[in-house]
Amino acid sequence: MLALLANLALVGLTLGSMYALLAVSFGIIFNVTHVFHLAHGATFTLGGYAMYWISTMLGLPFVAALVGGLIAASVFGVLVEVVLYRPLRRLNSPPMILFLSSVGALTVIEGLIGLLFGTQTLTFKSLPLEAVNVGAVTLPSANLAMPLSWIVIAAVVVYMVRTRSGKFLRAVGDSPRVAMALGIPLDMTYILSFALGSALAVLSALLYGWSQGLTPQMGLSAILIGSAGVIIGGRHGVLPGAIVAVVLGTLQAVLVAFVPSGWQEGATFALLLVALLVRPQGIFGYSLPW
Amino acid sequence: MRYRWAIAAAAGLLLSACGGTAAPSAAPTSAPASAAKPAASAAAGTSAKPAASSAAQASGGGKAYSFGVMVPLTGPAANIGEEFRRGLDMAIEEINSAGGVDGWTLEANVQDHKATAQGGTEAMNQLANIAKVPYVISSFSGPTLAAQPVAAQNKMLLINIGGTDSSLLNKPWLYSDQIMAPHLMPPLADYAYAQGKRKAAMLSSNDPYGDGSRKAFAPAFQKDGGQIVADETFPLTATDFSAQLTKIKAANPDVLMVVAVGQTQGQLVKQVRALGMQQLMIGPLATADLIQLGGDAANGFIDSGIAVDPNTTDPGAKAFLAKYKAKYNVDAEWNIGTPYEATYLLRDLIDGAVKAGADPRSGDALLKALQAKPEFHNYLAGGTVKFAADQSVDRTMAIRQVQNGKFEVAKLVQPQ
Amino acid sequence: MVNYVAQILVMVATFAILAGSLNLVLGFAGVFSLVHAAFFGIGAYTAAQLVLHLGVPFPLDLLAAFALTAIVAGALSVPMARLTHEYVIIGTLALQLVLFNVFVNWEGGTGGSYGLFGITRPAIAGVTLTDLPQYAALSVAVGLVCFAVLFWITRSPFGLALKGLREDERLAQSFGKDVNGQRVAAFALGSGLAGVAGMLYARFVGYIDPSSFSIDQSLAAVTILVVGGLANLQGTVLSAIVLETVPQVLRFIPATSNAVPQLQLLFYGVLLTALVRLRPQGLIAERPLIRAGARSKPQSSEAAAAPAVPVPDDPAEAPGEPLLAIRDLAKQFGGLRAVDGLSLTIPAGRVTGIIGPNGAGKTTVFNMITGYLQADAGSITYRGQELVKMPPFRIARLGIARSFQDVRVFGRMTVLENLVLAIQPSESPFTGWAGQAQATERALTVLDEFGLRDQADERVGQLSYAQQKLLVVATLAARGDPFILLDELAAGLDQESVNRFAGLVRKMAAGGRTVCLIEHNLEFVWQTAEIVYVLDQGKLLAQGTPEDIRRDARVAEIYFGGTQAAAHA
Repeated sequence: MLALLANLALVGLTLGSMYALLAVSFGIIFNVTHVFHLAHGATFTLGGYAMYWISTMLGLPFVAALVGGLIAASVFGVLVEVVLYRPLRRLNSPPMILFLSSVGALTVIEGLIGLLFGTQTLTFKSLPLEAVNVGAVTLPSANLAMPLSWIVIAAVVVYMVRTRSGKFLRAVGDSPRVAMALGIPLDMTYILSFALGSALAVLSALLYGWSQGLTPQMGLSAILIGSAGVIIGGRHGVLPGAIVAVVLGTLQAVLVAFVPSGWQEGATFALLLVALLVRPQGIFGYSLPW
Repeated sequence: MRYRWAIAAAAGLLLSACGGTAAPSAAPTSAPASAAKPAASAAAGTSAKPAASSAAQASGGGKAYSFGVMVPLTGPAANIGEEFRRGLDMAIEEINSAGGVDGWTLEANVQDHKATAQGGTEAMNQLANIAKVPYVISSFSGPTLAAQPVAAQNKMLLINIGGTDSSLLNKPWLYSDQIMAPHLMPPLADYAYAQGKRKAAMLSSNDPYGDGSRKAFAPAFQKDGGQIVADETFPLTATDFSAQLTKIKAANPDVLMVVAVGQTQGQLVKQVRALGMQQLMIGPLATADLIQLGGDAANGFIDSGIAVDPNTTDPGAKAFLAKYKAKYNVDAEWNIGTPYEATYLLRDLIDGAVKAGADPRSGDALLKALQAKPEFHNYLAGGTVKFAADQSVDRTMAIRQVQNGKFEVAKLVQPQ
Repeated sequence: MVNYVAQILVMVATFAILAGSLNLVLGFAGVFSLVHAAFFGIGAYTAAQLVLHLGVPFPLDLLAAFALTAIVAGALSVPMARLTHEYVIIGTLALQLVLFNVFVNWEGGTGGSYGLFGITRPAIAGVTLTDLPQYAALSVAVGLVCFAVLFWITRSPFGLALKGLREDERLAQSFGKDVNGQRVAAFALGSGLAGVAGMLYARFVGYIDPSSFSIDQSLAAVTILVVGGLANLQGTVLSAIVLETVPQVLRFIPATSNAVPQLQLLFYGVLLTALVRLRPQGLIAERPLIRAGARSKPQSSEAAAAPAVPVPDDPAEAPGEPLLAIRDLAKQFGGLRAVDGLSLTIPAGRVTGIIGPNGAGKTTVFNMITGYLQADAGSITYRGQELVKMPPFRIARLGIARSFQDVRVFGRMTVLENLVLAIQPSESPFTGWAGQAQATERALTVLDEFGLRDQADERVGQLSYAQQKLLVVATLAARGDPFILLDELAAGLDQESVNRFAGLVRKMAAGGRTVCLIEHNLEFVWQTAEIVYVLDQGKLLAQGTPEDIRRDARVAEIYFGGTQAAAHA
């Protein structure tokens, strides 16, 4: 039993790391702009397919695909902000209107991707999924790359704390009015958060597509755990969101040892709900440094 | 202000009314398959003109005879749906270019059931309420199960060409050109046992197909003397099986029985091997998707399904196999043959009804014709296939193994 | 063709009910619920099981679907009532996923992934509704009944209360509204109606399985709702018609490949995004529930003159006797002692002022008196009753009213709506109508007195700062609570307004009411207060008449610093 739990925990941790990175990318956007950017799922999908197109269909080396994906995602994220959210904000639209425009954008991308690439599962030909032995443990190659997410997460935290633009992001997230009074350019900061957050989503899409393949609907299901992590983690920094997401991912895998696998998702979210009700102000009720 | 919505309502009705005169070839609007489309249940209907509404006439006189087809056009099983259509289209084209049947030209009204029971209900309601066809070719257990009550209520003859769940048996108005799970799974279990496997793990989709298959496999394997060490399921939409596989791996099986369709099959075998699991994998009804997506991981996979005889001397079967190979450059499998056969069955039934002096557009007439002659030509291996008492068929089954990216027949199992 | 239209009608009716019921929860009560599809499912499964196993006839299946779903939803919403803002989204999302998982796995109750099939059409007066037009007629009839219920509820005093709790929950509590109870009631009713839609759906398609009750369906319901316009039921119907019909029209693109479903999805997404972006208020915007309109100036009548919360003829306290007693009150935030062992009494029928520099703990004390903050130690008694640990709305119902430091109004509601909601004695959709009518009459009178009559149908959010404050005072005057707490009423006002408000406060006290006010504007305090308490760093520094305080050197020191003390004596 212990061995099973350890194995499951390992699987969960690797998957959870991927979700943690996705939570960080979602969190940057959410914590700064306070928009529930569901279309982040579309960014995720778009990035994945862009990489597929460049590497598998155009036959270019994967580095080029990664760069292309980062650019495509960034552009899309900024586009959604400039074309949808900003005008709606100017009209003082309530948050649920912005949320709904996000849903619309997600649907558009889903349809577009399905139209252009078809609905069957696609895989990165240049990234085969193989078994890799690490000591006594065997894992799929994609999963082994997932802990690298934490390096990226660490880099993001350093960026937020140390650099000027990172501080702008945090300032605007804390209080837009004060930030404005201090002369921080609000619109540009919002754009920066979308560009950065969207680009980061592509790294998760890479890991996800590698281990599970690409489908037009992959965005919505991936964003569920990521966004749940951010909301529960609270508004003070991206790290809590990442931690909650990795815990959720690990929990989801480990639960399989105790409940029939059909109940996996239900059990995970039931626990999440209980945690939410017990501490409705979020797991991290106090401020954590970024 | 009050007028605005009245006008919109009228406009909406007007639009749909205009649409109504052209043949409605779409499924009713209800549950969405994806974010934020309450009414878009994707049903791609091909041009389907309802049969001419003159007085009941036995002979067609050049008119179109419309019948329904329900296959997955979207979702992970979409490729299989494509293949079903190939067999269907081939048969229709052949029959029509030979002058049709008794003056009738065949026309298929194709609906997308998305491999879900929900989709099947919508598609069938569309065919029953709007298109009002007397004959429907359907696939997959879930959608067909859902469609059957509608068929019975509206007197439509429903022919299942793919689903294997045993609850499809002995249902009024439903006949299956398929080897059902109670016959499909035990030989697989026996074969695995004969290979020396004693500890089986099962991983199946959480739907009637997966459920029916594992319920037929487990007792057979246990009766042989084997042991079921793990029994896991996954939702139809799953793309990641690592949790279930990790649990299975810990149970230390020597054979892994997998029930999944299309792309999911391919993904699954890849993830199995990527976790370092080297066990033999077996399962019902493997298709080309397994090899295409699974790649190397698919090698060694053992499946069971309707047998295809590439060396048949039967002229009809030989011609069918050769034509398909020539056109698509791959060998035809069972899922090309069964819709082909079902279309030819329709031709025979129309003919039978006409000869009995009845209107072939009536479901009753078709059913009577079927009961009078419950058999059809075997285009996959030659000979004749007869419907059994339980309304499925007794056919030769093949146990195949994937070798070097191709299916090779390992054993043939004759019907009892 | 008739069949075709009939089929559309069934779907329109079903999804109009689903979206309309969500409108009650989300549009009116402001609860962003993503769990609506699961309740759609519970209703469907309930009706299906009853029909399949017990042959339950219509309309018992409908009533059972409604009742069971409402009960389950109500029970689930009680613990969830404490969630706010984005936590509601995640909380209801989690609940949706859990319930969906139950649908998929619970073979005994829902048939699991197999689902339930063979659900027969209902029989009415001996006729089984197998024909499409027949079932369409039934669906439309059920739809009309459901919308009649929704209109009744939303037009009633309860509907107005829901809008209030949507706009500003704390403000609503300060008027004695039981916001949690109201939210649970709205949630239960809305979800119950979703269950009715489920019953219609199940008996129409004859087969149900979990895939119709997934998160996608919840998002779809939200879509119909928002496109139609929040808190607007006509808009929901219109939206349901448009969004159920348009995809049908789209299907007449000849399907030559598998691309059509994707094309539909794309077009739908574009349509939705464009609609939300270009007309975010929805097809039909939200409208006020009560209008002053062309009503003539009201005559002063008995009913109009009577305050909503009558001042007791024989108050327990004679003027001057303690009404509110604070003893050893303490509150700490982290390491900061905001209130530190404070004791004071507030006499009845007088105006008491509480002053002190910023951070002295004044508003903290107010918040503890009115229940928005929990005291760490000490007691607060009002007419002998302990207030600590009592929820804000109960404290308000004891007769304690307050204004807030940041001017709080129900921003998207009209001036008249704001006032009526504050005054109406009962929220009951059954018995509260007369009370609301009287409250409306009285409100118009009060608005007239305060010179806000012309703005009655304007959104409060569009009023000037001074006008909003005037409305706050008008509301407090109209309510007639015996004890009023005013938090920095004079802040940000010009001298004329300050004088005017001072006059109003004095008038309130003259009428037998007790006023306690926090102020930085000392002029205002000298004009109104008979007793002044000075707070500094959470403790009581000085107390006395205004003259005493003006002469008190310690007070001058904390306000102005030592050297200026003499100048302000």
